[in-house]
Order: sequence, then C-alpha cells, then structure tokens
Amino acid sequence: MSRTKVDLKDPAFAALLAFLVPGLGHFYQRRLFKSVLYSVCILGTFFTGLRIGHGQVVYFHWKQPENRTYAYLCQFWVGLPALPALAQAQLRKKDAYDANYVVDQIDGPFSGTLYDTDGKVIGEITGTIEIKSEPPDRPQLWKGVIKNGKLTTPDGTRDIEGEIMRGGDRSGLDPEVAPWRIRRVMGHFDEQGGGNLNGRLEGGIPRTLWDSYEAPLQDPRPGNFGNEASDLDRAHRELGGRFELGVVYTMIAGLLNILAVYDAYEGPAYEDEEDESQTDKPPPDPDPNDSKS
Amino acid sequence: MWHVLAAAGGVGSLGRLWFLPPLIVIVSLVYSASRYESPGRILWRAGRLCVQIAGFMAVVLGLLAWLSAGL
Repeated sequence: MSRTKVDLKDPAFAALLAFLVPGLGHFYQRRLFKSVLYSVCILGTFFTGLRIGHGQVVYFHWKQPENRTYAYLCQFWVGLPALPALAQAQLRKKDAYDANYVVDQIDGPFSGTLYDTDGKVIGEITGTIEIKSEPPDRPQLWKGVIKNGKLTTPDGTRDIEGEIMRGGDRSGLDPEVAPWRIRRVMGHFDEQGGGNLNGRLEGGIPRTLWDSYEAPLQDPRPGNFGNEASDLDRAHRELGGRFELGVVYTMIAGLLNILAVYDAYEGPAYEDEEDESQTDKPPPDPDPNDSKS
Repeated sequence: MWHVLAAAGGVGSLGRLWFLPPLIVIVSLVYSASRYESPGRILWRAGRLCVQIAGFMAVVLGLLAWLSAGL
C-alpha cells in the first residue's frame, strides 16, 4: 500500500519504536527533522499536561465502571511515558493503596507543622521518622517516632523527639502509593525525652518516584483527612480547572502519536510535489503506444 | 461584548485560553508532518493550518460572546 519514495527500512519495527518513544521510529529511519519534531511536540505536550495536572491526570483505573479512566485510552498511545500507569494498576498489592496500613517499618525524612490544641501554629518540626504497626500484628494501627528532630519557632530552634499516633479530627497516614510526592502523616504528637510539648502534628515523608508516578487516584479512600471523600475529590480541590487541562493535554499527546506511528509505518500521506487536491484525481490513461511495443 | 472576551482571555490573570495557542501550534505541526516529508512544506502547511484553526476558534468565540452579550 505504501507508495512513498522515503526509505522506511523495516516499517513495522519503526512503527513499534515510534509507539514506544515518539520520534524514535523516525530516528531509526533517518528522518531526523520529523524525529525531532514528533519527539519535542508529543513528549512536550504530554509532560506539560502531566505538570499542569501535578502528575495526577494520567492513571489507569478500570475495575469500577463508574470510575473508569477513558482518557487513558488516548494517553496510552504516548508509549513508554504512559505505560507505568498500567504497571501501577496491575502489579501493586492491594494494601499499597490502603491508608493507615503499615506492614513493614517506614523510615524517612520528615517535616511538618505542630499545632496546639486551639489550632494555633507552635512551629515547624524537621527530622527523621520511623513508623511501624503497633501491636506488630495489626497493620491498621501505627505509631511514628520522630528522631533527631528540630523544632523551629519564632523564639528559635531546639532539639525535639517524640511520638505521633492517630487521634483527633485530621489524622492518618496516606497510602504507600498515590500520585502525590509527599505521603502525609497526621496525628497527635507527644514530646519525649524530658519535654512536655504536645499537640496536632501535620507533616509528610517523601514518596519515591515509583510510588507516585502515574499512581491511580483511589475512590473512595478510607481514612480521616478532613473533608476529603476520595483522592479524586482532593485532586479536584487542589487543581480546579487545571485537572481537566492536564487531561486534555495528555490525551492530545497520545492521539498525535497515533499519527506519528502511522507515518513511520506508511510514510507521509502525500509526496512533496503533490497536494491533497491532486490525490482525488484518477490516474492518467496508459499510453496506447506502450501496449504496441 | 468586550468584557466577555476579556474574561475568556483572562485579562489580568493567567486565563485558560493561554493554554490554547501551544496546542494549536503542536497539532498543526504534527498533523502537517504526517502529511508531508520535506521540512519546508511541513512548516508552511503547519503555519497555514495554525491560522485556519485560530481563525475558526476566533469566529466561534466571537459568536458565543455575541450570543451571550445580553445575558
């Protein structure tokens, strides 16, 4: 079917490359201008959309019919940058999406804000935190120990250590996997080691890229994080109209890559010397002299 | 009618319409690249398509602004 003069090499292999990484199939075919153009335009649009949506607009969720991510059917065509969404949805254990669920001990840097019982800010706490289930056979119950902490208040900075556990209106531990780079830890704080400071501590520990990149928004999500009914609710509240903008950008990027894949497989639709209007004309009649020879 | 256009364009703030021009340019470039092979023709056609899409969108925006002027 291909009638192009362009050397497409192995068109099927080029199309596969073009699907996996926009522009790579054309690079393989030595069509460098198109390779750069597709790569910059499609990947640029996809990652711009992802950035606009704070990384929360590309994910795959298909089990609940009312929450299916039909947008992913378009985003999928961007190739490798969009495929981790499938891995997040299929390869993760179910409890990785559960809030307040600690199987293995969690260690990491922590930063948060300490409030008194009236809700006034006491200061900022930074340090390291160890979170483990307590008792050990009850992963739904957890306790965090803050070590090597520094409390910064308007009066200055001092060392602080203490424990944080569930309690109060806004308390909980975010799931292991979610599309936010910070895993929230909220609860009641009690100072240990001589001090008697206590109050409500709201902070978080950083998630790894694998725990956050294209992780699905859970709906509904258990836990007590104020008025949030679900991850989707939180995302819309934080992003407003940017959520839809991010979805549209990433969807368009995927749809554009379908054109690029087809171009890698079949070549351009028109030769440079012809135009769309000329393609509708019937082919010229064969020269009668040719048949005599 | 001007206040409707101003609101749509986000005068005084980063309006959502500012996200549209990059999309028009990118869609035009990628579509034209899938039609033609030589860089010069791709860019020429992309520019033409850009103007066509932007013109069409401007006409629709103007029409909607005119229809909603009395509301």
